[in-house]
Amino acid sequence: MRVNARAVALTMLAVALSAMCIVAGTWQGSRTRDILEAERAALADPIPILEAAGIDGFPASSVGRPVTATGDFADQAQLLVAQRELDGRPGDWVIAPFVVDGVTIAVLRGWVDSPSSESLVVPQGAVTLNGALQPFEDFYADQPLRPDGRLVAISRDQIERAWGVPVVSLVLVLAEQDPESDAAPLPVPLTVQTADVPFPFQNAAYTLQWFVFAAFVWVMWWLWVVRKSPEEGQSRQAPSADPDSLDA
Amino acid sequence: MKGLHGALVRFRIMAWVTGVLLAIMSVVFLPLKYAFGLTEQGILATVYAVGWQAHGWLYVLYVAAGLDISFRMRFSVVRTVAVLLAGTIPFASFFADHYVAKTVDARLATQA
Repeated sequence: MRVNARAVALTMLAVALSAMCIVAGTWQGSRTRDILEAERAALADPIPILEAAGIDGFPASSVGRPVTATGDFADQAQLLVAQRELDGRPGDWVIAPFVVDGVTIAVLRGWVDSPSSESLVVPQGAVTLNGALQPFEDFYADQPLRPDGRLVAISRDQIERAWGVPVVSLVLVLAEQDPESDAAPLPVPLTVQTADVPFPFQNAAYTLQWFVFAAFVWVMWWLWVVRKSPEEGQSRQAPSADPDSLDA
Repeated sequence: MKGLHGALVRFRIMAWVTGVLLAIMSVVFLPLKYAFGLTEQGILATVYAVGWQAHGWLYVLYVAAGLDISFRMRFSVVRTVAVLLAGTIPFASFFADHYVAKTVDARLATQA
């Protein structure tokens, strides 16, 4: 490769252009992350439970979503889900009926070590619950109740049959109750952690494409600056088809 | 000029595919989005997003084909960059296609 003014100029141009592509790609990459964070932040803000899910169904973004519910625990008997460990200790999960604006919600209050635990007592009067929504364990929907009356899984069918009312299509897993009870079941961790947010494919693709274009700049540099030069002597014999060629 | 014909065919295919998609996206879907707001949800939202996605990746192929034919034709840097950028401007790739095809055909004719 012969070092000349043209080669130097084109090399500087290639550096500048590929740097611009890298900057643009990096910017699209940070846009991708910002959009994801904004979507997650929007979902991390608790909303009233009936805005997140209803009896008829729920949007995909409501799974794992933090919600609040203000209402009363209903009169139907609480249900126990058998054989649920907490930190290795055997026990049961407690499912209680909670009514908000006349709609019944299955609330997973937490874990108790025995079916006679005093923490099973539900508070009287209006309370505000904070927690997150989780799907029912409907893969066990057809399992009959155990002989002792406890549930095998958090089955929506079994719960609705036991309480005689339809329930909201997601379970509220209790995290906080206001006012607090003196003795309450221990909160259980969420099975499905994060809500489903749409991934910004377009920005992620632009990120990649800008990096591809940065590489193309150097492909072009190699072809036009490095490879073209040795043939220059030969191609001079045939007049260039390009009147505005930078070679001139 | 071995391979010049194949390079031209590849470039012409990419110029037309990229150009037609970009024309549809800008003439049909940009008004749908910005004048009528019809691409917020449903099937149109999906078509809109997939359309621009596809154009992004097709343009990458267009640039590759454009670099190939431009180097084989020993186009100048300015001319090459003009051909490559034509894939981002609605309808410009049809003019780039016409120009490149005419130039290549003339070159092939003088060598025949």
